[in-house]
Amino acid sequence: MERSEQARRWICELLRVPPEPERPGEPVDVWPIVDRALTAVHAASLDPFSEPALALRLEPGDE
Amino acid sequence: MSEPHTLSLSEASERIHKGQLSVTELVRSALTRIEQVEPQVLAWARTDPAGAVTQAERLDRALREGRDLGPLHGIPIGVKDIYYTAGVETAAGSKVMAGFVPDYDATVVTRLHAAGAIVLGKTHTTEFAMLDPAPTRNPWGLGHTPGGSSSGSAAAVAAGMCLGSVGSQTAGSILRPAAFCGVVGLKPTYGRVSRYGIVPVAWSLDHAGPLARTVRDVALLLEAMAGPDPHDSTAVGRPLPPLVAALTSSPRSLTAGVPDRYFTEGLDPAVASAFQDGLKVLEGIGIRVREARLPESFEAGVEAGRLIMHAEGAAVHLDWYRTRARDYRPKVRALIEAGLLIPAVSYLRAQQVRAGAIAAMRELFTEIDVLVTPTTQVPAPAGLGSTGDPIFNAPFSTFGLPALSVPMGFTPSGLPLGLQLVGRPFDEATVLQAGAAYEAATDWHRRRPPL
Repeated sequence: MERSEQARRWICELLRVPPEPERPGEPVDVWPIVDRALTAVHAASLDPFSEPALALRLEPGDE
Repeated sequence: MSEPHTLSLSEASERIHKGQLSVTELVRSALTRIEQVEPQVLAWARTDPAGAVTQAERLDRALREGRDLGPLHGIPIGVKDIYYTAGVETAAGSKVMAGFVPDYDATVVTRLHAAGAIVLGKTHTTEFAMLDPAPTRNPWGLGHTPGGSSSGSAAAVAAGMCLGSVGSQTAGSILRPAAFCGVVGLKPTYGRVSRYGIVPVAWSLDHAGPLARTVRDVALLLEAMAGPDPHDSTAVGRPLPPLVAALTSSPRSLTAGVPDRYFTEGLDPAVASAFQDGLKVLEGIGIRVREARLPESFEAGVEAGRLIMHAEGAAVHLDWYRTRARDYRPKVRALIEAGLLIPAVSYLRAQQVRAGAIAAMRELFTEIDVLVTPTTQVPAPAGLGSTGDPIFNAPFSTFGLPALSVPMGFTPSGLPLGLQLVGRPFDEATVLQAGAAYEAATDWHRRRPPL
């Protein structure tokens, strides 16, 4: 079994999701889209200390 | 007098306030129109004619008694079926949520009710506002997609079944259907409108926004929808300037930027030609048009948005997916399955890349006031198996920038096209100002589908 397939099965087991649910309808492969996005994101030059576009907003009194 | 359902929201509002049209007449006209054309268009997941008439009578009484709720008083609207509506099923176009009846309204719905709007019903969405299509047909060509995911919200307005509607956008789900259906759509700045009570697609990308027949109409709807919300920490208290007043300002001091790349790729000849005509219109009304060099980080930012949508979408659906994988349609299922495999480090890096691209886009807007592009590469594709590609809209969902689509013309076969105007964060006013000036110089928005 390929390593990527092993990884997929491991993640599915970890998350307790069915690795191969029945697939009514046309199977759709979005992995090429994600693969391209992953490649682009990891190829982008970047300050590794830069803040991601995520924000935690605390109101006064929450601290 | 023309049938009330053919009026724009602003025109109907003016007549109601002048006593020339009752709310009940307007609502009955919209309901009759639904009876006539809904069997062809299939824009509605469910409607509530009796409830709408009861509300209309109540709002007519209120006006007689001097209680005027403002410009939306008595305006019939549609609400995308991912917005929670108290006591009314909210299925999000899915088997998974079928039969779910919320016990509260989404904040946007609460605000629209308070502003006097009448919800005629829930409009069809693609499954979970993602990719698997709704049954809705395009009123301009019934064999064509209306776009998605706010398919029913756009088609219902285009077909004259309501005077305005609300949709949502994570990639291109307000602007694309607006363009394909020949109506106006506005995706506000991220944080301008609360998403509380709206079924999420991807938290950091989701936007709520209005659709209607004119720029003024969407401005009126946004004025009612916007504002901070203690239930949604992303909905900030940034003051909303008077949008309708901004529409009458001269656009002569504005500079529009035409992107040097990305938006030039894959254009249908009819779109390319209409876009060039649109640029001439902008110049004709005094807007300075120049090339805008997109930042180098633009494309990586767009790809980051795709990754974020898959990862967050998978997280949204993980619990249901564990037990109900078979109840998801193929495209959503594929998105979830792919999203589950994205490493956390990659997701965070995508958010870092996104932040960099947003900063670079801010720089671009120091040189221009609005960015102008076609809303879509192509007109509404034939067939109902896909809702088309959000490639020209998704960047501005990822960057959180306000974006407007206004009708830009038609193909030789009569399908509508859209012009997209994008602005600085929280500067919906300038985007709407430019859009209103363009609209006033054209008549595309006055055309109605041949139903």
